[in-house]
Amino acid sequence: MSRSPRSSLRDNSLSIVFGLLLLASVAGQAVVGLAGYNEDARVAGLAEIGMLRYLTSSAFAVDVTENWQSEYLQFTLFILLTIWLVQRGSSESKPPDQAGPGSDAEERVGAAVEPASPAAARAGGPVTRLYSMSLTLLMATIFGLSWAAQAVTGRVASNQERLRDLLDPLPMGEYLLHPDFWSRTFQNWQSEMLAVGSMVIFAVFLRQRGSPESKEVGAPHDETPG
Amino acid sequence: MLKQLITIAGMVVLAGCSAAVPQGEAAAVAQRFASAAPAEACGLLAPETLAQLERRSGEGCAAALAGLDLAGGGAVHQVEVAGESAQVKLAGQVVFLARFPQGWLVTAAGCHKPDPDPAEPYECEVEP
Repeated sequence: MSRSPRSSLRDNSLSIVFGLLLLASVAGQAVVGLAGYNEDARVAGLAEIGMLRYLTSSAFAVDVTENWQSEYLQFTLFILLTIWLVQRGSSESKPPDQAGPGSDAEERVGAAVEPASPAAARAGGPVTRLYSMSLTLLMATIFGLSWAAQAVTGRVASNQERLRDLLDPLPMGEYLLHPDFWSRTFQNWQSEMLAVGSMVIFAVFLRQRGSPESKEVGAPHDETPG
Repeated sequence: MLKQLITIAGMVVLAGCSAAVPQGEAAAVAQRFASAAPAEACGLLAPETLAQLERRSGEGCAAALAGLDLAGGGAVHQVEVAGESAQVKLAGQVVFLARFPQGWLVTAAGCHKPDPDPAEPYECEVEP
């Protein structure tokens, strides 16, 4: 099954465009982040650094990873909680009577598996059980790694400023209890919970014609798409 | 997704390496500063620290350093490097440094901590 380059681009346009938007956003963050870093350095009478040094610095890494961990936490929670929790009328929810992990027939595994199903779904046993939660596992793993990376790089970035201020650096155990770590963490978590919660409830009453994230424009408010 | 995992691991490794490699260089500069004659020690001061020292004392750097009660260096007890900043605890004093294009330079020296509270800064004979 060969596809022309043009149709392959169209078939993957959502992933490609978000990949490009990610790169543009990281580039923007790097440029303005470096400018801010060097402004602080100038004020303190310290040396400015170049882009390569900034991109490998903990100051840049902690700003990136604190956002990544909260995004992946959001998706991990959303994927997991929408198994059992529902919002009647929301396009982000299952219908209330379908709450739960679903039967094999509904999930097209076991006796209901199809020839075109993924190999891991056809394998059965522990392989299929693992594959049945692979999306959550990967999201949760990236969340855990990003949060750990935030802790490691956040401690170095915080200690760099503490040393500028003639304070002792904090060991990891103390940094994990320090307001800097939890402030970075909670300020990202709250925005993710707001975004998901408002999307779930706005999708009950508001519409965007043509978007799979929305119900059809004429769908009743209390209709939950199955 | 695998790319993202590798990226995260890479960021942590790079951030970790950037902290581990220069510990020896920072310690060597701190020891040299602590044991050098004032004229040589002045060459190891960060520009802002040098300017503040001369402004506060009203005299040249070497004369100002000679007039301060700077304990000697001695053995290196502990080195902490965090990004572009470093702290070296010598037997006789604590020295703070920052990285410049020409290498590590001393931002504060002759530092002691009368209050063990981690929120209280060091008091230094030479500081920016």
